[in-house]
Amino acid sequence: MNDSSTPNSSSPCESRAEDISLLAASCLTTLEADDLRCHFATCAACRQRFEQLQSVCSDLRTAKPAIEVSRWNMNEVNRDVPPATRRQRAMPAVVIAGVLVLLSALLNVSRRLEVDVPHQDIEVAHEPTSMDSDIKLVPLPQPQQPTWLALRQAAAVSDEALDRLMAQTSVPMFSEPFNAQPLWQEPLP
Amino acid sequence: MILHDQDSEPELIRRSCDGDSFAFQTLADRITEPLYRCALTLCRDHQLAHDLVQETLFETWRSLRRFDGRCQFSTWLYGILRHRYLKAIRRRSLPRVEWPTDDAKSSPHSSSDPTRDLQRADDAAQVRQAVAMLPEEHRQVIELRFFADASLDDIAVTLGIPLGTVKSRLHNGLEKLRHQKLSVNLFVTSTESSARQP
Repeated sequence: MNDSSTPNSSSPCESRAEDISLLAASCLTTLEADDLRCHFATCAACRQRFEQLQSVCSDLRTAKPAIEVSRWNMNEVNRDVPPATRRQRAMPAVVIAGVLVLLSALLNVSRRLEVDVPHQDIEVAHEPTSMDSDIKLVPLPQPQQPTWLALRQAAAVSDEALDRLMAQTSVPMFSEPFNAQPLWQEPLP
Repeated sequence: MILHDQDSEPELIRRSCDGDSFAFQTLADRITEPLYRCALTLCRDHQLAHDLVQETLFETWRSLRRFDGRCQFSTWLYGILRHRYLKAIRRRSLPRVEWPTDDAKSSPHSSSDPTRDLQRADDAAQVRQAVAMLPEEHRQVIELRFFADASLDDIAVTLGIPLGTVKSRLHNGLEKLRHQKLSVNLFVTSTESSARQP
């Protein structure tokens, strides 16, 4: 406690003056109010000032004018301004996030396909055009090849069965790499 | 949805942010009267005070999601009200009017004794007149605290002044009123009051 707030019965402590006013106006915390009330126990001048200010504040509270306030109508506002909710505000972000996730998933899938499937040189059949219309094109029969399963089964039975199966094929399988014939080609002279 | 009055303010604010107009209506019903009193203290014009409250609540509804909870909701509202008030006074000069005179019947402190009610209304009118005679800076703080029930923080935001200034103005205003009351010897001392009691 400083010197100016030393209890004095003749004149109130000036350092406490503002706090006394705030206490009378109910603007102090409980701790501050308790501290000040302890001071009142030893300082009659401050106590008297507090009582007078309390009376003033009581008068002011009693003099609070009665007013009539028209109720604010929410429905009128609703008609004018549709409320933008958080959900509505977040909707574009959710859509964008969804599109990004979908794109990333597609990219992953395409990368995996590139890794798993080796590049093959595939000859694309040449579509006949109007310029080629005078040339007679003959589609060639597809060479017949036994499946690996059929070859395995034949090998499991006997060597003769495997030889018979190999003999049925029109294209040699293991001598030269298989070159796919173009679907459309000029007829042989 | 059924809302009860005991619904807490943060819950009502959260619902209002989600677009629940009933929740915001409840909030508005609670705050309309203090806002009106505050607006009346600032502008001293009933029609403008009414408009300010309407605009403040409308603006609050529109920008409620910007309320981050760093201050009291009422303090935030008073900030919007002050902003609206400053815009309004730029447009026109304001007439100075007094608070409405209490009809003894409509007074919140009315009792069954009409003579006593009249005396009380007369006393209240004198107190309001004494407040009106105060310097503007003291009058505003006193009215906001006692007529609008605003907290010190709310007053600081409404008037755009620091909290310390609010405290000193409140103190000075109360001291002026105390001296006025002393000058007409209206205080009843504790010894007198104890002597009056049987």
